[in-house]
Amino acid sequence: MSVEIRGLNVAIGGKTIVRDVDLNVGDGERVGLVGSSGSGKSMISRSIMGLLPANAHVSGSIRVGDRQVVGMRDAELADLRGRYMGMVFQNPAASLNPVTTVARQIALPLRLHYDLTKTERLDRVRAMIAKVGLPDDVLGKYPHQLSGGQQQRVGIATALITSPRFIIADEPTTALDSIVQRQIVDLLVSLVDDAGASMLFITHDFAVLAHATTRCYVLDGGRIADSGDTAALLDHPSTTQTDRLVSAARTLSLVESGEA
Amino acid sequence: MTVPILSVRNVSKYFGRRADRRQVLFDVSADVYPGECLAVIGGSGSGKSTLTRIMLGLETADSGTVTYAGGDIRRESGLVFQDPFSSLDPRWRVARSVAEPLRIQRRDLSRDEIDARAAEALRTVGLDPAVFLGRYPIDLSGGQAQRVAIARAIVNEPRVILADEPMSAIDVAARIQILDAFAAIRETRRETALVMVSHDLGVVQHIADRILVLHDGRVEECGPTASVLGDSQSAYARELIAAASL
Amino acid sequence: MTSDKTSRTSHTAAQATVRVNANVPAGPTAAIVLHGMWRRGEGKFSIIVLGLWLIVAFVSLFWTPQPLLATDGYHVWATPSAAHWLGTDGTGADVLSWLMAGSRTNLLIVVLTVLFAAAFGLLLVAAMVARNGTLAGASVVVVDALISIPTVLLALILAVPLGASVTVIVVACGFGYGLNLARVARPAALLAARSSYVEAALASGASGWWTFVRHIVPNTLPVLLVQLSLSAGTAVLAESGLTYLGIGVPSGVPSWGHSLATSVKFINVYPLTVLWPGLIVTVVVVALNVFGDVLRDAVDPMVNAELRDGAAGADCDGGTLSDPLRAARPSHTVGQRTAVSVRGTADTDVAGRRSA
Repeated sequence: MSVEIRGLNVAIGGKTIVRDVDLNVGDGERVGLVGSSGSGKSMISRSIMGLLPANAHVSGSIRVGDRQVVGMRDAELADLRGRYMGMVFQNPAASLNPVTTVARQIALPLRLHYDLTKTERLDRVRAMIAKVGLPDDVLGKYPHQLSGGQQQRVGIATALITSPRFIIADEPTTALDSIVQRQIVDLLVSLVDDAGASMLFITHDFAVLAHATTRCYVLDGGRIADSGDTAALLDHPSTTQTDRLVSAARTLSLVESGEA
Repeated sequence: MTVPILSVRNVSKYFGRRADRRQVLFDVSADVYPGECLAVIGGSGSGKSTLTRIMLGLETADSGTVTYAGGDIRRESGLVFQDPFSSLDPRWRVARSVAEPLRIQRRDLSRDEIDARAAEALRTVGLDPAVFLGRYPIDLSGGQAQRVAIARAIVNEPRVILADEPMSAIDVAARIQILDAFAAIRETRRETALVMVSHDLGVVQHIADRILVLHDGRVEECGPTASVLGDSQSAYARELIAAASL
Repeated sequence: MTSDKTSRTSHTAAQATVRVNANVPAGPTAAIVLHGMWRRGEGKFSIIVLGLWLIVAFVSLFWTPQPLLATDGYHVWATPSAAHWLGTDGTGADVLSWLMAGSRTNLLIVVLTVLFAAAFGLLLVAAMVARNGTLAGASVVVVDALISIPTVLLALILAVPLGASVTVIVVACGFGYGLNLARVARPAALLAARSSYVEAALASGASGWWTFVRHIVPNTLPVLLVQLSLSAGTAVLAESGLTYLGIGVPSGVPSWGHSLATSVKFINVYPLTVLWPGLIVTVVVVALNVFGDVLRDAVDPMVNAELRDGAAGADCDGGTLSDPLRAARPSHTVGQRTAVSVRGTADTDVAGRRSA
């Protein structure tokens, strides 16, 4: 499913946080959105999901598939979320309900959007668990019994259980350690590609972006500062903001350390 | 690099009681020498934070010894935490937070002297005292707040600084500033030992002299940075290297 | 704005000495706090009501319209007149005079009760968040056990040896409110006590008491202020109740509760005499409750941006503005208004006030 954002402005409490943003995610495409904290990237993802705070003022156009999200009624939005759009959050520990078992957690979007029997739901959940690389015995466990990486796998399973056509991953690896980060990125990419879905991947780390996306937008102070092919931007950063992010990623990665 | 300032010998540590009891450190030994930077690397659950907390006496080992070649380690060490916003009192100005260790320990110093040292510490980490001393944490970016926390850790001229994942809660772009701050500290205070805990080899490669790789509570590898990165002996270290590569 | 900043941090080029007063912000804090309270409608209301209370209590020390003991036998239960603005009671005493004099007693009771409750409550909070696990655990149990004693029962017991007196009210209420305060403030205090900033202070050699006074209490202050103001209001109500029961303010001593108690029996016949003290008690209780709310927001640097004006003007390196989400997020203290940090607004506010 494609997402098309035109002239998006978001203001909170009179302060403009997103300015005149145009952004496209094509059908089946993995697109990155990169920027420092405070650059407004989370606001863009919240705008798409219709999850902005109550005092936010949004103008512009966000088309998800053939539907306009800006100004959409809550009930319609709720139907769109979960069924057609899935979201993977930054902090898996906080985004999972601590008193809900993994099985119930993952099954929740199915319960909300589809009329299935208990067995059918459980079958789907089992299949999903296997896809995200978790053993069967996690189904009866509670989030605190899982490691951070396992929790995030549960988060991914929850987001993907309804086979949404569009997935937003909002800093899904930031809270994880480096080895697990890599595994989670690889997992997300393969699942999204297998399903033929499209993804908007939000991060502050250009190195992660290079693994996860083919094309990306660089956000600075609420504006799109740069955009293009991820690999090309990595090799030839044209704007100062891109350069800042790319050189930080290069400094902190090991392969280039010899030349640095 | 002759006599270690901190020496950990055969330390084991258990968490939990009875049925939940599990071992988080297995017979770990490590030395920290004056003026060096030792990076303790490992994934979450590797026991790296526990080890460093035992080093500073913030937690006690169940067996093994920790020797500190100095006086009271609490007065001669500085701590930097992962999340700068929860490690700074939200209702204190930067000036007060940075000066706190001095106000606790150095009753002999005058107010002016304390202010001057706080300003100096801020300057070391690359923050302009005139701009930042009067601010509250809520008006700082993550990178700035972490540098304030680092200034607080160095204001009392400690002999050991322990930084527990000081960059993992910070934007990648701002991590460079944190690295610069630590580099400046090592430049100006050559006798100060720095123990940096991290899960990311890429973050510590520029600053660490030696790297200790912990995996599931056991020392996988320990050696000079170049040899751990260039010629790693353990499969786990190679995995870490792969994860930090662009 | 500029002159303000230079007065606070003056940078002499030669020595590069930076003088900063870490505790006292630029400008008089009291003025900023008062302005922050006055800005809000309910703040104005509470300041005016409580201010009037103070003034009336002070004036009554020297002057009341009629002497307290003067009774007018010809005008019992009189309606308001030029001689008796609020009328007279059953003995022909001037209602207004008694209410004015009563404000003194009530002020004394409220101040003492709040001080007692604050001291007692904070002591309990200190015990409940102590690093000594046994002390912390035991104090939680003790507080939960003691809180089951009704204030009225305690007052009745105290009245046995003490008789009807202000002490009974202050001790009984202060005790009960202190327990309540401790229980309500514990979560916020615990959050601060387990924070890394407290750990950092402890790691550099601070005592538990140091961190309690300097870190834990200030970060619990929002809850404390609200709870204490509720206690102050409840103390006014309790005075009326206990005095009515005959174990509060002794007869002959003026108080609002006394005025109520002497006339409440005749409420069907002479409603006006009950109306006046009832009205005063209601308005004062509301003002006290509101006062705590408004004061909490005005003294909290995380809510009142004017208190942290150092940050309002200068922003240095680009792209380091604080995360709007973080600023817009309610801070972790319980029941607090969302603190939206809007630098521009703070700036113009300050400037506007100074130029005005």
